[in-house]
Amino acid sequence: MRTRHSRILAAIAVAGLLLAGCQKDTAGGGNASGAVDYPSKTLQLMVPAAPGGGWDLTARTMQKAMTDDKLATKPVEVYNVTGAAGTIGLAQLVSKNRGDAHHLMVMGLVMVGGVVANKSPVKLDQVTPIATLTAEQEVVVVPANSKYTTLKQLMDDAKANPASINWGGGSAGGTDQILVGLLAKAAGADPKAMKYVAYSGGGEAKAALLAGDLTAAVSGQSEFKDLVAAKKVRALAVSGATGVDVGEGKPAPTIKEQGFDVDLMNWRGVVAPPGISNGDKAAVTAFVDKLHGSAGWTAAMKAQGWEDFYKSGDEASAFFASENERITTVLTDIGLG
Amino acid sequence: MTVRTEPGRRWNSQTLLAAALLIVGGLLLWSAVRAEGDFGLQGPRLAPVVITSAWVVAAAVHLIMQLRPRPEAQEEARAGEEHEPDRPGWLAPLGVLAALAGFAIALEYAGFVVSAALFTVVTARVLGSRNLLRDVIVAIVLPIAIYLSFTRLLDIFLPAGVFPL
Amino acid sequence: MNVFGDLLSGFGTVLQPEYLLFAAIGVTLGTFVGVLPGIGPALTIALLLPVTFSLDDPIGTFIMFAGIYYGAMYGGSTTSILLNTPGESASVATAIEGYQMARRGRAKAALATAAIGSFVAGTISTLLLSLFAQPVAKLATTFRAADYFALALLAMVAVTALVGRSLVRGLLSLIFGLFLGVIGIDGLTGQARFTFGTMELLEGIDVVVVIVGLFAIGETLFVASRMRSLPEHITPLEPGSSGKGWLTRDDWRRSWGPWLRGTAVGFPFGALPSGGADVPTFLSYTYEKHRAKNRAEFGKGAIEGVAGPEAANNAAFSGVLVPLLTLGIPTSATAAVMLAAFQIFNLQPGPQLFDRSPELVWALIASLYVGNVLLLALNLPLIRVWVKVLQIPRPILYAGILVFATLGVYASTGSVNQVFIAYGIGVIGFGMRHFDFPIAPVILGLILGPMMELQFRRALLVSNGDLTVFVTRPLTAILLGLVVVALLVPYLPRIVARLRGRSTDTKRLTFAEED
Repeated sequence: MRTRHSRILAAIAVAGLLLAGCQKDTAGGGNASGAVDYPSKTLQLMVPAAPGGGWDLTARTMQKAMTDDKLATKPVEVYNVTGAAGTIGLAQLVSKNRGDAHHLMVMGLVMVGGVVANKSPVKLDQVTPIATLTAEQEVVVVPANSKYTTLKQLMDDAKANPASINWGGGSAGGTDQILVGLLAKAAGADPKAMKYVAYSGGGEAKAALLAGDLTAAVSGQSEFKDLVAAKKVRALAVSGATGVDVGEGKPAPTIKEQGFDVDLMNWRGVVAPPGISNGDKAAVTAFVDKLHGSAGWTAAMKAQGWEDFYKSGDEASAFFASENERITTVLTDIGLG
Repeated sequence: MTVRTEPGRRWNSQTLLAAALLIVGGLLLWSAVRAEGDFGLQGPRLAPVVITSAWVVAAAVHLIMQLRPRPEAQEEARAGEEHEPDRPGWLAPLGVLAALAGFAIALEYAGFVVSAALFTVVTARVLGSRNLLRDVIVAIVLPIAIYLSFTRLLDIFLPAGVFPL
Repeated sequence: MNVFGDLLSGFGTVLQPEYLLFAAIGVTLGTFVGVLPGIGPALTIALLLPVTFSLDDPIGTFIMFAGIYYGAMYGGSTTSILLNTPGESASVATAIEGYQMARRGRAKAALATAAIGSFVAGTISTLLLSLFAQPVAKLATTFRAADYFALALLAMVAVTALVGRSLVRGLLSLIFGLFLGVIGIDGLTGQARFTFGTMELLEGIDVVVVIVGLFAIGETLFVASRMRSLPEHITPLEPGSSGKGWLTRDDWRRSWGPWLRGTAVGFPFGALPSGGADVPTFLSYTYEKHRAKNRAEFGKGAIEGVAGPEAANNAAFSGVLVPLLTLGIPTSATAAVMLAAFQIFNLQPGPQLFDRSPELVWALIASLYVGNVLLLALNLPLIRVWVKVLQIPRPILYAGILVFATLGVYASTGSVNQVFIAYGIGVIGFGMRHFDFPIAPVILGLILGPMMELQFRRALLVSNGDLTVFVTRPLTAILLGLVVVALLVPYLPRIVARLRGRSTDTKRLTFAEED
């Protein structure tokens, strides 16, 4: 007897829930009137890495700008899929979200390298490129008591005696190692012979440089700012087209200015799943264009010290393809491909 | 040889386990040795070989110790039996595992609330609950509370699934 | 340098009602999310990071963050003690004795010694942080790869007591942990190991996934297999527990030493780059077990085994802040998240942070003191509530544990496949319990193994393959010498006896004497 009662109760409870759910939905539907047609439902932003990293920060800044500036009338949700330089998130986007224009993924140069280094079965050309958003320059630093004062001296020794230079930076196949490979190639040294010690995250590499394990460290430009300003390390070069201040109070020289034809930006962008219609792609692109033009986004970029690196539409597609080719080549030269 | 007493049976399953561990360790060692790459001190392939070799050695020692009849082993087993008068049941853990598998599969399709509610009811049953009403109430209240507090208060994404909450 | 003046002005900031509220919210939020079984401090902080992200006030954010951390840490210990479901490696050592205490009806005492121990350790270590941040940081950056290898080896040798009753089984558990540690992409070369061609294993198996699997899920399966012989409710509360006192006089007497020693281990370890909070908890546990007179009680609920590790993991947090604030070097997952939070406000922790943003730094340090007090104020009364968890009927309780364990893994990894990996490890955890293999060595192998391997190879890479790198640096040589001593100590009585020409009837001083 008791069981039957409880079943009835359960049914009532479930029905009540369903009703409550429906009401909420209709209420939510009313809001959308008068707004743009994208996003027309909850927008999901996937971060293919753990919370707290650069991609996560990018996604959450996007989320904030989208909702604060009322660009999206529907909720924007950020979720993290961790693992393997983003290739696990990439695989998930391709297999699970095919054709769903309300599912975007934040990504960047590191993923381009990750696909190559991890021999990911899912490639970047399988997704729909939308835009690149921001970029950060890389910096090459040496300890303050190092004998190297210019990049040229460092690269001369790296070429003549590769075993004498201990390079250090982030994960194997990441932006930092890519820069070391490109530098070696430009200096006429053997990229494979470069001794690169990989660390998880910038902190460990920082400690190793200060402790004396490393000759030179490569990292995102903001990472060493405080140590450069405190004169504990010296910046030799930055990797962008124009020099930025990495803590000395004046712009650091670029790699190009020192005679090596290397230009590398650690860029971040956003992609959509494969199989979305051209109309959808145009709508997503227009939406991201709007985000890029918004006051909230501009302010956030300034606060974070991100460089504007906006390319969308065909320009973005072409850039994705050229980066893919360049990174694949250099990683293969290093011996990671 | 038939071993009717409980201690003997337990001892026997330990031996089987030791043998299984040895076989698994051997297979892993084989795959570690066969991998391509640098087996030098600095290379990435040495550690797997060292670890799986240690596995094989330890499993072999374990197996030998199990095969060697020792009075203490019997005693230990008997002592263990005294603590656990009942034989472990296999149905309940298997049932829980099946429910877990169903939960994980349903999670992204049916959504968190529905799958967690069904899972709670089923698992409580498997674990011997007789009070269905209580289980159903918990199964409805708990997942909804979790879902709402995670998605609304903490901004953590959980699959909504069929419930448009 | 006028530390006290700065600290005082820090307190001036934090004690404003608005910031006190932030601290209180942080502690409460952290406690309640951290107390969910299978969701530990690391997960809690990862999950709650977005909440702090939406605040616009850096000081408020960090005050809340410190509160969340302390709350989460304590919440994690609560479930480790009550349900044997730690959510992070730093609570595994607590679970060993804590859960046994709870089973014997001493849950309140275990929770109280954890709370008070956390408070004592938190307060002392925060004081150390205020006074000695700069010199400690300088020391920490003298550690090189070879030193880390020696240190990891020493820790490994020192904590062999966790191997438990049977040496062979303990070793097999340890080896299994080491094996789990090599799965995934090799950190130095990017080569995949034991991934068997799957994408899911490329990133390796996260320690949180292993812990949730081995403990929350393995424990539940084990309970399920013995359901029929167990009463419906878990444990009776201790007899005569109606009184106000949490700890008896004897408990106090036995706890204060471990609290202080745990603090002494936790703080310096936290300060080392690549240190963290988990290794000192195991060291503290081992040490307490080793020096205890009533060693037989260990494994059956010795209060020292809860007091020491709990103090150690709290002290480690202030230690972690040393390299983070002074050099911008994060030494744990939590610190990495905090670094990200700093960057959200466009602050770069480093040598100049103390000069450039003194009010923020000192407010943060002051908020650690406040967070500690709030934690104690919140949790001592709550102990009464938490132990009620044990009165939830078993079927519902364990169904709930599984829901939270699944939720935790899914919310942090975003992948159902990781949930299945956790379940698979849960089955192994069940098997280990059934066949009487110790669980803690798995975690140990998983944490220390990769550290040893990576640092060993880094040291060789940096020295161009020269093995003498391990003996030429004084620090490395001393640490390795200690390893040798630690290995020989158990045999010393025998050696001494032999040298004196007596028969070797002196009892061997082994870690695993019941072997």
